Amino acid sequence: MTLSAPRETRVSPAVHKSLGLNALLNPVRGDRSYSILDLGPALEANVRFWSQFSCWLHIHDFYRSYREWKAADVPEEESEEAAFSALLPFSDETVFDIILAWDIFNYFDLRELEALVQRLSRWCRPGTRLFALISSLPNISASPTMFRILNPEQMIYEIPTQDTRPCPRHQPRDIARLMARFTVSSSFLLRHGIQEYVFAFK
Amino acid sequence: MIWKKSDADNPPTQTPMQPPPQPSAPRSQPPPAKERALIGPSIEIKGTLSGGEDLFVEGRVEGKIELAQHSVTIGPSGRIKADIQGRSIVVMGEVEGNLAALEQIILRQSSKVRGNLVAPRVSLEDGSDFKGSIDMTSKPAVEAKPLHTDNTAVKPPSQQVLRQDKTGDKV
Repeated sequence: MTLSAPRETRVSPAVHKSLGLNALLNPVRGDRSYSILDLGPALEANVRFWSQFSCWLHIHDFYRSYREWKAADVPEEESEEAAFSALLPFSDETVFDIILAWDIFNYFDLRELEALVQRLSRWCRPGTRLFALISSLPNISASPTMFRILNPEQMIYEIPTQDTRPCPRHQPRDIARLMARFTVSSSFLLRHGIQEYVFAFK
Repeated sequence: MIWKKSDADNPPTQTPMQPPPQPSAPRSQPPPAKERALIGPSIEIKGTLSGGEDLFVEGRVEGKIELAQHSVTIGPSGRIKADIQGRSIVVMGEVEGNLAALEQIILRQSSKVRGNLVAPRVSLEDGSDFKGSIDMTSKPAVEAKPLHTDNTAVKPPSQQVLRQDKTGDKV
């Protein structure tokens, strides 16, 4: 009998250049304070990165929270709006300068995304920037990638599982309709099939 | 049979378990061990905890922990539903509440925290399950601003708006 090695569930982290991150951070200056909403999980590298600026960082691991909410015994009639209200409970006075959506757009259908973007728009003001990575590949990791900021031009992609799922492959026209209250400040199609967007709230 | 000596036979300051005095030992006294209070795993406290020494919590606390000049450590089995003030705060267990430290807050890998953190230095280890906000503005912690919750998050001053870039092309 031979013992087989346990299956490696994570994909080895890889460093990627990020022109979008660079564009997002370009206007960030050290003499100001920023309010940042991070919809990804809490990561040591990102907290360390943002700590060099004067900022107020909100971390909300939104996808996992939403999954937990859906897994809970919620009434059928509960809508995404209700979920997003509960999961993103900021007051109307809250305003964010930067929203880090990372790749979570790939994990929601257009109806859910519409509710999410509508919710996020409440806390945007002209100039608020939203950073998103949208995949055009047929398949994506079963769970969102963890993006660790190395420096303003590089991120480490840490894919949590080797399992995959079909990518919704949101079309540019759908993204344009979805983000009607934003303009595209920058967008970069990377070699590995991911498009980085920096949206700016109108 | 062993005869038990009477108390009068024993020197008052010496017990058989104590090592004999070391005449060759240096005269300078070692620094006293830092005083630290421990709340054990079976202890549950409701109310406000305050005092003049460091605190290590392995039990449950509901209410407030106010030790602004001392360090507060929440051990792996600590379960806290309270706002915590300390000089430095280290969390290994679970906390639901706001944390304010004069020096630093450290969330260890095993921690689960729901709340808002205010400190000049915040360190968060990977694996830490954190949801909330981290105030890393340069103002001194604790007295900089009152602790806030997500529901009362305040709007930053208007001069903090990011410069709006030239409108880009639509997708």
